[in-house]
Amino acid sequence: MSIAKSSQADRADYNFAYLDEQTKRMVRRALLKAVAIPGYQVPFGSREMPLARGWGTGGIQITAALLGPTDVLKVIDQGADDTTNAVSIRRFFERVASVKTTTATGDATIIQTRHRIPEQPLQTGQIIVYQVPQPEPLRGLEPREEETRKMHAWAEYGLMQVRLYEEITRYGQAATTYAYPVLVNNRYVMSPTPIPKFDNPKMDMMPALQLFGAGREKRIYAVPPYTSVKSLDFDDHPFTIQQWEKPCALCGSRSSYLDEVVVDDRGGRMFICSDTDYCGGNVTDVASEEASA
Amino acid sequence: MLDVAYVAGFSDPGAASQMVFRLLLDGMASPGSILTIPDLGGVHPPALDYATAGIILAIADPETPVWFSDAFRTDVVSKWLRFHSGAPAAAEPSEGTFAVTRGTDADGVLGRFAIGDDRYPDRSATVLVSCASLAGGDPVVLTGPGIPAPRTVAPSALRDGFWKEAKANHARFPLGVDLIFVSGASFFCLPRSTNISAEGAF
Repeated sequence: MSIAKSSQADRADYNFAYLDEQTKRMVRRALLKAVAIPGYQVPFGSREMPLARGWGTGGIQITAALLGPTDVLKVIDQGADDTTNAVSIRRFFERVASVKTTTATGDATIIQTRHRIPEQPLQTGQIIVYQVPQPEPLRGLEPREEETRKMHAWAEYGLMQVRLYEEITRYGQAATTYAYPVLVNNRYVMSPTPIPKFDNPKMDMMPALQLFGAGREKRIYAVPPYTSVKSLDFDDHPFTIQQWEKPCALCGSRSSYLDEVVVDDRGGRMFICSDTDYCGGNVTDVASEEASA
Repeated sequence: MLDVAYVAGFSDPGAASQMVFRLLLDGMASPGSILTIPDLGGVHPPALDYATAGIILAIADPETPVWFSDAFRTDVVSKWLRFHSGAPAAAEPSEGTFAVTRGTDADGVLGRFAIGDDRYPDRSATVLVSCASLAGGDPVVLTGPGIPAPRTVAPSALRDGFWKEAKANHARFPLGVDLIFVSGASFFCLPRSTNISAEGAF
């Protein structure tokens, strides 16, 4: 009772979804330009948020600019709904926007994510908001923003191909396993954020709208639905994704991205789905099949 | 007569702006899909389409100059704009973050608006093109991002050569303006990323 009261009192102190309307309009204009120029990083006036930069402030500002009273929000961190970052961001929006939240991928209208794309395919009308630590895919190769801007302006992406080439000559394969660079709509090279390269193929022609927010770096970018997103590769070294020898130890899935979990102090380990909603759904399906059998 | 400049805009500005923005975002993400803005209260200058007024109220503010073609540049419209959004009226088409023109207006030629520069293509105008209807004109076929299968649109009436200008706009990608075709409360978007084709129309 007292908890409900205090959360209502908190809400009265803030504008709907925390940000003021002027800030929301600025973020919204950046989002519209980002959608019109797929893969291009739009600068925006990133605000101070009530959590540290680097903890998802870009994603939060986009979500705040999107949210309406009828939205249903899901927040994941590395695929999980129950980790600290996901729980605190979800609770934040429950408080300041009173929106409904869910852990079910299919029920969400907006999914804010850190470093994963849900296993269940997203649908038309859904929006996925990525938290982005470093929006510039070329930053590791060229530290000067002025130069990377020119490289994007002139589609001068040879340096990125050279990096992949060097990985292949040194290791026999592309050694980048996350934040694997993609070419959007055949024009801009874009960082898919630190998602595992396992998730890259899901971005290509995805029916849902993909929005990316980098709070510390003050950039917003987007991939509209049904847009080509190609992972960079070479004809004789095509892009490949991770594979595992064993299925998920909990649900038996052979098609999902698995996390390695250490289970004791004697080197014991197991591999389980990183997407908790997907894994939980599979476990429930198996249990109900056994019950009906 | 009621002075429309000084009557209420949206009855609930925060909620209404959010609703209009989400429709706009859907529209930009799905070029050519016709969307309709529900009745959100308020009175708008009779010269402006309801959708134009709603979009301006939702996303324009003192940081975004708005340019009106001669057909729309009236006292009532500029007073309404300033009172409700605080947005300055742009004197030149190239200064407008947003531009409002009719599809038939000769002073609304697309080449006059800001197209951004190669390092900052986002510094470009969003042009609202008012049409008699979003159907019944010459059909053109749209393909590109946001469009799973080729989509046909046929807004009317547009000046001769309009689609030629729009095609030239797309050819400059990633530079260019983003178009929103409006009629009454309905609109559809045509971002610069959309490829336009038509048989015999050019």
